[in-house]
Amino acid sequence: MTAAIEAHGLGRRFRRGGWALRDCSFRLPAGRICALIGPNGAGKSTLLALAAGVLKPTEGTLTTPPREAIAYVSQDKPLHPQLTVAETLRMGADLNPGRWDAAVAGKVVEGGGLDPARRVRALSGGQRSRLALALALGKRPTLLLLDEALSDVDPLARRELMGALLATATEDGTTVLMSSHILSELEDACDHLLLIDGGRVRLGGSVDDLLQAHTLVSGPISDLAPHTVVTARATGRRLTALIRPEGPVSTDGGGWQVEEPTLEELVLAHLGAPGVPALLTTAMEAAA
Amino acid sequence: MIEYRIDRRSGVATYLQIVQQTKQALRLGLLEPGDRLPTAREVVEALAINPNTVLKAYRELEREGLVEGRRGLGTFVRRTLGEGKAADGALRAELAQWLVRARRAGLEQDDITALFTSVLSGSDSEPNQGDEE
Amino acid sequence: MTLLDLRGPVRVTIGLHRRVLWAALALVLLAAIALPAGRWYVQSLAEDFAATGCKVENTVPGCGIRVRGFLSRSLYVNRMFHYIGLGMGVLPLVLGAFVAGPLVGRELESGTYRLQWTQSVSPARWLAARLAVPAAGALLVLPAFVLLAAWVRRESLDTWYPLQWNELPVYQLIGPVSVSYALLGIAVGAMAGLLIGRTVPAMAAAVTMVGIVTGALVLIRPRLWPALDGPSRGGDAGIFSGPVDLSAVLHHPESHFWPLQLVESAIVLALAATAIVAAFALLRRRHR
Repeated sequence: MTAAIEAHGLGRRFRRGGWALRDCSFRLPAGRICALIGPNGAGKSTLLALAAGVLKPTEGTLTTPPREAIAYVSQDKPLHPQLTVAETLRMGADLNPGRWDAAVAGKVVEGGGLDPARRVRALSGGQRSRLALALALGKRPTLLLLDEALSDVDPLARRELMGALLATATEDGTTVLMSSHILSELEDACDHLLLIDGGRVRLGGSVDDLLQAHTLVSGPISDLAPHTVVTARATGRRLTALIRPEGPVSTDGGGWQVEEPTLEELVLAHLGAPGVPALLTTAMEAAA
Repeated sequence: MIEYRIDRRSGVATYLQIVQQTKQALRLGLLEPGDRLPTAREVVEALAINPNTVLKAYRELEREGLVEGRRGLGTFVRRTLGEGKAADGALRAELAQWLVRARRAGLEQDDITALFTSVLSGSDSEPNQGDEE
Repeated sequence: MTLLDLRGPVRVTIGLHRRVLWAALALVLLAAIALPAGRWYVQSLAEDFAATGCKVENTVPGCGIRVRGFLSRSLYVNRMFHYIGLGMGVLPLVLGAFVAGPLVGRELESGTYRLQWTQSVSPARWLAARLAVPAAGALLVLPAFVLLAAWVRRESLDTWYPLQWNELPVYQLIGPVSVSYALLGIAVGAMAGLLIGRTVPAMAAAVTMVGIVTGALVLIRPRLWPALDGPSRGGDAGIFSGPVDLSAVLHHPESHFWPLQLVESAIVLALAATAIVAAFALLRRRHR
């Protein structure tokens, strides 16, 4: 499987010192739809800007498709305020000769009832997001990078836009990497997950593999070795723990319950336990 | 054509909801052999879900022999479930009448569901009882 | 990078700034009409004056008002030529401010450069397109304008207010230095815009830098070509009243016009090229 993004020891330093992102190694196979999850300030935007080619890595390497094949909607959705909606779309056509799909872009804009003669400066935040997404989808990218792209769109429109972008991705086999600090926004849309926190990768892989690699156990307090314990919480004499089983989990001890965790439990457990080693399943592990 | 609806709070996996709704449509005769299921793209666009989820559901239906994928054409229904008997007009009308009576007796939606499921599961083990309960 | 690659970004640049570009074109056209119009106006004044039978040299009674009217009107036209020359002197500052501010600085400030860069325009092409528009304008319009001004100046030599080649506003209007300084303004503007990345401070910096370079070169202008011994026969003042001419033992004859213009142009163009190289190097160092 070819990789759409491959990062090796990727790092980016803030201008005033300190690292926004560090030691980042992973690969995202082509055609995957991946959620980039992490708390505010985790380094999501930095990673997306690096992948989009608007930031230069301080260290490490990053391999992506050529610029012509990447679309990027950043959090602040910069657009030229003096242009109208129609002129903005014409700009997309001018800048992407031989690639631009006016029908796709036009459909996204019409879905929100945007007046083509309206100037960008007169648009609401949600309408600007819609126009920015139209520009991104119109170039029919092979890699689509979305940085909280739909956060200021109302829920109904968000579902419509997410549907439109997933439909385009289904048709073209587009690789999508989209960030949010709210997992539930992306959970239905994504098949892969990249969790970053404090500028480092914590979890990466297909959602199914990640869920399978973890087990939620509860039972009488006992030693959970040799399994890796992500979090453990004692209530009374019972222990509830999220573990990465190393070998079969024995349930003979009596009273043990074993469940598959939800993705949300997995993410929250890892955010609460910064000391636990990162886990990249084979799908997203960077080649040595 | 069938339109799926996803209940995100149900706790049932999304792909299973698609499988269940397809089966329900087969039982009710809403889908018949030869009918085409919506394409993955159409479902993805309408529900804003991952395309793999749709494909997984269709694979499951295919595995059960209910539908078949024809390359480049789409996914088609192969057979119905329960011979579509659930579409029986008389039974349906009777149930509707019963529902009117239950409402009149002051039962709410949840009461009705609870009553129906308890009778249903009771009738599994004791097939001759349960009519008058 | 070929010119064809720049077609899209150039069209977008023109679209974004078409109001300013139209206004600039209108101003240049106005000046281009004013120059020959002034010349013909003076000519017709002289014919009308000759028809009255009055003479400027020895005023006979009854001619005083006519002579004064003729001379002051001729002087207005001479002043107008000077003002246009001063406008040409300010042009590099205006171009520098325009490139540093609206063209480059504002895009960096508002983040719209990211939009361009992820619409398939690489940083180098983005900058090249933003430089190509004002540079093409300067290279297409200014030479024609300079030829026109040089002709009007020659025609003025047999009037009562001849325009001397070595007067400051005249010198920069009738030779290639005007084009060179315009290009310098554009280059310094690009560098300032990239270096500072904010609209107003970048504009101020560009104006300051271009102003300092222009001022310094005006001061050393008389030394750019070996002057001749002895005072000038015409007793001209103007630009060459600097250190060289102060003792009235050295002067530049009109035959030095071309060597002086070419040496100064070469210096200015070398500085402009340095600024351009620095701007592109800066861009490459910061962004991939």
